[in-house]
Amino acid sequence: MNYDDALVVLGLTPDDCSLANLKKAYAKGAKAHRPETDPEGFTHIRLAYERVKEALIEASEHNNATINSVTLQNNDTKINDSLFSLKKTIAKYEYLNLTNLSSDLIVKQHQEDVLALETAWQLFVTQFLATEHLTATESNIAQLSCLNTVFKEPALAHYLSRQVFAEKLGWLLLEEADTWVSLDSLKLTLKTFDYELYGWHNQSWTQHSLLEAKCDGLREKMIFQLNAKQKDTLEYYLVSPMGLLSFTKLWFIYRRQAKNLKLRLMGINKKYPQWANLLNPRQVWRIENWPNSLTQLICLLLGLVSIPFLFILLNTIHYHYFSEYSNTGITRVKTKEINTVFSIVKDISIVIGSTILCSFIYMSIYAHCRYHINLHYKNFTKNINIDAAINSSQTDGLINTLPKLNLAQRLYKYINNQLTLSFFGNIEAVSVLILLFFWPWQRPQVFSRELMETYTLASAVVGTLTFMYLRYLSKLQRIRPNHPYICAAAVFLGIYMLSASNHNNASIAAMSLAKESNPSRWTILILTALMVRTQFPSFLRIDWSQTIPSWLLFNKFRVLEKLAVKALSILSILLFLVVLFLKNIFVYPIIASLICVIIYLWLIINADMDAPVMSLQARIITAVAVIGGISIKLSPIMSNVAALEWILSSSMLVSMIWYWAYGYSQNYFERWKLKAIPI
Amino acid sequence: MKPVSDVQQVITPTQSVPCIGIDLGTTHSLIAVWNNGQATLLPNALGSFLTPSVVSVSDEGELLVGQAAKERLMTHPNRTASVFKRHMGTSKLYKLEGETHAFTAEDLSALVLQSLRDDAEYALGCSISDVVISVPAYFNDTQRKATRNAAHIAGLNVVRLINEPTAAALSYGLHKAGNDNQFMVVDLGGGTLDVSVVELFENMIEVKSSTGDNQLGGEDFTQVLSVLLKEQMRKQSVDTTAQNSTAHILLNKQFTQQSTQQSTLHYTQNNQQGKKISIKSNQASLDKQIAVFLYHQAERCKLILSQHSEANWDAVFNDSHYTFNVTQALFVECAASLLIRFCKAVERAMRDAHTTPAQLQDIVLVGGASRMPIIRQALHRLLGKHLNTQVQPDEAIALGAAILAGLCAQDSSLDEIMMTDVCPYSLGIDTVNMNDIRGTDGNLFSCIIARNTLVPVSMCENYLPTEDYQTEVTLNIYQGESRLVRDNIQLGKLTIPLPRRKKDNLSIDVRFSYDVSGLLEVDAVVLPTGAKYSLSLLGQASSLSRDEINECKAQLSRLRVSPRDQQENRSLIARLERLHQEYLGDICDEIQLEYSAFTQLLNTKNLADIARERLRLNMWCDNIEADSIIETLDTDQTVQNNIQEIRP
Repeated sequence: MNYDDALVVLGLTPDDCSLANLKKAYAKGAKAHRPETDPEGFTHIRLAYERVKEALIEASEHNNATINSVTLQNNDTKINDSLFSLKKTIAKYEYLNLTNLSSDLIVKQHQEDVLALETAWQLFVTQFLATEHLTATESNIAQLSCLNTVFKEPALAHYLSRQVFAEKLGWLLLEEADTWVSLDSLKLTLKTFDYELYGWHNQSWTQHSLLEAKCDGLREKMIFQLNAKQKDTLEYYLVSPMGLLSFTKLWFIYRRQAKNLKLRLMGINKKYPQWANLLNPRQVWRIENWPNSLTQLICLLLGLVSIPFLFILLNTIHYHYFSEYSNTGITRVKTKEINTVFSIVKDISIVIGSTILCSFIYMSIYAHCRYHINLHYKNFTKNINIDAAINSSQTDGLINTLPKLNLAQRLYKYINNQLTLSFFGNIEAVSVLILLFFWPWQRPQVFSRELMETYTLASAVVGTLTFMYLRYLSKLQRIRPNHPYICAAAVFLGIYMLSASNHNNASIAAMSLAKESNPSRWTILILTALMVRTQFPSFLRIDWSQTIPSWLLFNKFRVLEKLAVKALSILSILLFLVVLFLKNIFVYPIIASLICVIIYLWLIINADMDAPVMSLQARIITAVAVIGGISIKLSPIMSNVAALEWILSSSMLVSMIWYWAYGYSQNYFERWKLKAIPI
Repeated sequence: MKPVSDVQQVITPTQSVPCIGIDLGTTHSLIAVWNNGQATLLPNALGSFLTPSVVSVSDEGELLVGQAAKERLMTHPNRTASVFKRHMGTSKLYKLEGETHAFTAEDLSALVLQSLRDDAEYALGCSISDVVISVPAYFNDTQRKATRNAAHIAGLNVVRLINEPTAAALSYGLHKAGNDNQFMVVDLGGGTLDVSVVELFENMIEVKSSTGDNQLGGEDFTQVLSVLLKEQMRKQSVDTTAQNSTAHILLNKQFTQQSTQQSTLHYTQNNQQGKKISIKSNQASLDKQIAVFLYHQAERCKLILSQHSEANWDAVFNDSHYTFNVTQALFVECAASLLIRFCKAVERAMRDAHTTPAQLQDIVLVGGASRMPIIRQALHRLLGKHLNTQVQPDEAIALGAAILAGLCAQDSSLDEIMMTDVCPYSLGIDTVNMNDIRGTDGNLFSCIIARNTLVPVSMCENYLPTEDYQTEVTLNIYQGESRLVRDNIQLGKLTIPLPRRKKDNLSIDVRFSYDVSGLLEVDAVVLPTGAKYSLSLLGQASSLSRDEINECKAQLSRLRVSPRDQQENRSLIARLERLHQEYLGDICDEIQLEYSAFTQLLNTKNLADIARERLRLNMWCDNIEADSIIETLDTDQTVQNNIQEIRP
């Protein structure tokens, strides 16, 4: 129904169409078509009434907008006329309903301030939304001092903080604290703001808890940083979604300084419903549903526990069908080929199976979280349409909607990113750990050399791909993937490769290691434990009974050399660990690079003795990795390192594939079969 | 309590069929008639307009309804049921001692309605059948159906169910008709809260939004107080160990041995120190007595606090003295969560109506619990408005219901008045939830008619099948606000066969038409073929079949309901019993004497003497209660002024 039709239905003409006449006409029409007896007629009349009413309100808005534009030009401001009409300001003022507060306190002067403030605030919001960064220019300071004036009036501040400014100031504090915190006027404003915001909502909120809650990050990042360095434990009081965002941010920035930074959830909905009210009780994020470290740990354990089961299953099949497999650990020639093939299949399937299992577990958590965030975000934005809000006649539409929406969008994005990152980080870490954990020392007897080669290659490929992906993610989100698992996995990969004297893979691992330059103390402890775990069996695994006769008979120097290389590798690892413990060295990229170079050179010097044919490729690749590692370490000071890094990563991948194919094409299998442990 | 007079035929109906409106409340019920262009309340057998919604079984196995039953709430808690409106539409069963039949909330409501009907028939001198009954706006379909069932069982035909705040708005708006006005009706009854924003212009009474909380009412505040009092009682019983009366020992035992004994009743609540009290006991009976005693004291406290800023009083339980002290501030602290819920509902009503406090010209308070100063303060603070206290909170709803009955009967004096209402719940169908990866959430609710849409309304939405070549689609119709259908209430379902086509070439238009009497018509049109399917839901029909209603009626008729002319005597006896339990010493003996004298007098069947004696005894009881009432410390002048304001 268009406007003209509606007028006809109501029996009005455009000239006598005022709100009073409209209501009269509607009442008349409605009484003629009562809803009980003539529902269709009534609906028709009602529709017409609503249409005309809408049009009338729109028209009055438009008139006021024209007046407003004139007023604003006088003030030399650049506010968009249609957006912030004087009408809206006045309506807002009415909504605040200041006259009904303890009215003797509020003199007219202050009421005028509020009007001025509204305009100032609108400007502020527009700028803020447009740029997302606001510098401390003079005009902004003027606006803030205006805020300050208003907040000095207790009754007014009380009302404003509750109604309008809570979130906005929160945003201001969060985003621009560094810039603003030095301004005295803002400090004053904030103090009043604090007091009022908390004071109104709950008297039991003492000033003390307020300070604790606010200053640790939300307001003064500087203090936060300082505290983070000095204190062992820093508790962060999360009282609002806003606080969560700030916490997430700070956690990424300062988590190394404050190792035990704790997030103390206040149970937003239950304990402090007034905070939930700041947004809307239905739309408060359900933080308790997010994966915490415990669930992550449980998943990891589940993933790991699943692997022995797979082992048992596959081994049972193995033993059952290949009964010649003897307990002495020596496989008979007759079934060796089948055995080898089966071992490859078995090990690969274990890895794939476990990885898939872990992925599923994580995936479910991830999906769950994402779903909840999506849900709340959708709920939150369902009724908020920016355009509608801007154009709407609702007095509180614009002012309350935009910052809320902005807040929601940012929070959503941020948390999503964090989740994605931790999710892939975990997946990757788990798969690498599995690759490393569950093979050589499990059954050294049946572990043929070619299988080992294939395995290390596969793991290196997987590792490289994941690291590349992570790197991409971190580029995307400007967050460094400093996940402890990743660090652990990378370092461990390196150690393993060293112990296996497989230089090309070692170089890849070392490169990854260089990327993840700041593993935590925990990581290092884990690494040490793992090293002991791997190195000891690798020493014990040297078949002395075979080596000694062969050393006596054939090439004693070769065996000695082999042992020497082993010892050197271990020494280098130990050195590396010592360096890691003094991890502050890694603050300086050049030192880190130097250490990497030393390790790499060592590896190059101790050339691949078991596979001299391959040593050329191995050396090339290692050299490339060294350059890559250095360049990555230098990335903070070099420009466009990312491009170089990409080229290096992809070239390494290609060369590895080539190496693999080349190895097989050169009768690789045959050669190694001959070298397999003799009976 | 008013002295009883001959109230027969106080009203002479001018119409052959009287227009009756009933306010079936959580704590009290009222009945009113639209007559001679005005709504009038009808008194019960005791001459009072308020009939307590309480049912009790007497020692003789007779059913008592109303004041007599309410008096027995304390003395015979196991034989008495109250506040059952809260469980309307649920399968909760009330087992009353001395009665083999277990009652549902519907049955009990039917008994109350029956009693109201008898009163009305007595007053009007003719039989009545068609009534308008008020229900909380936030009652869902199940609860509304249960109310209709109760009326059917009581032999009444429900012409229309009216939302309580709408009824109050009607009775308020009728006097203000002609002025352009926008006002808010806040109805805080015994068990439910309803908030409506109403616009009044050109004799049109237009409800713009209706929200509420059907689990928030005066009873919740009483509960909060009784928990508070329980703690005070516990402290005193622990302190005064010198006394060794049996009850005292029992109480102490009950309070101190909490950790070891098996739990039958369990109350936990934070007291003001944040300490948890947990009371467990095997002695269910004693527990219930304590609970009822505390409830009674809490009621008393509420009454005092509505007049004074502090309440100090003594009470006796099982021969032990207890002193209670509650301040207004303490009450506010304990009831903070309830007040927040209250404020939320008010805010939501404003939001739904797109209105601001400045645009409201009046705040009308109805429902007995709205007399509480803390409620008034909260509302005043929230809206910054003075509250209208001219409306009689208890009576407005019943009067409004009677006015609607008049409107339904197309009474000529109401020709100029018109009222529109909104549907308080959203209506819609379920749609497939693509995001439900784990399969735990179930389908999504797709809203077709949003809540607070003006009725009558007809709205249409287009839906697609989920699969290619789907053979049929089932529209499950739901009522509620939750995003997931599992949290909403299913009203019905409509299965539509589909032609064999790809899903892109197939769509279904679903139209919901909701009319003023609450009838929901669902029309579904399969677009390519034009095949039409429809379903009628909600509406007039009771959810019980005729046979079921007859069976219920028969069951209830087998019960012996105390005759109407005996009710005054019954309630006096019950009152004496209660007082006997409440007081100590000489008064107790006196009550005992009066009690035996009166029961002897009843046996003589000398009606005149009995009536005289009853009048005297009632006044005597009033005096006892007035004398003992609470020596408050408060002498604050402003509070006294407030009392004048609150209780005109």
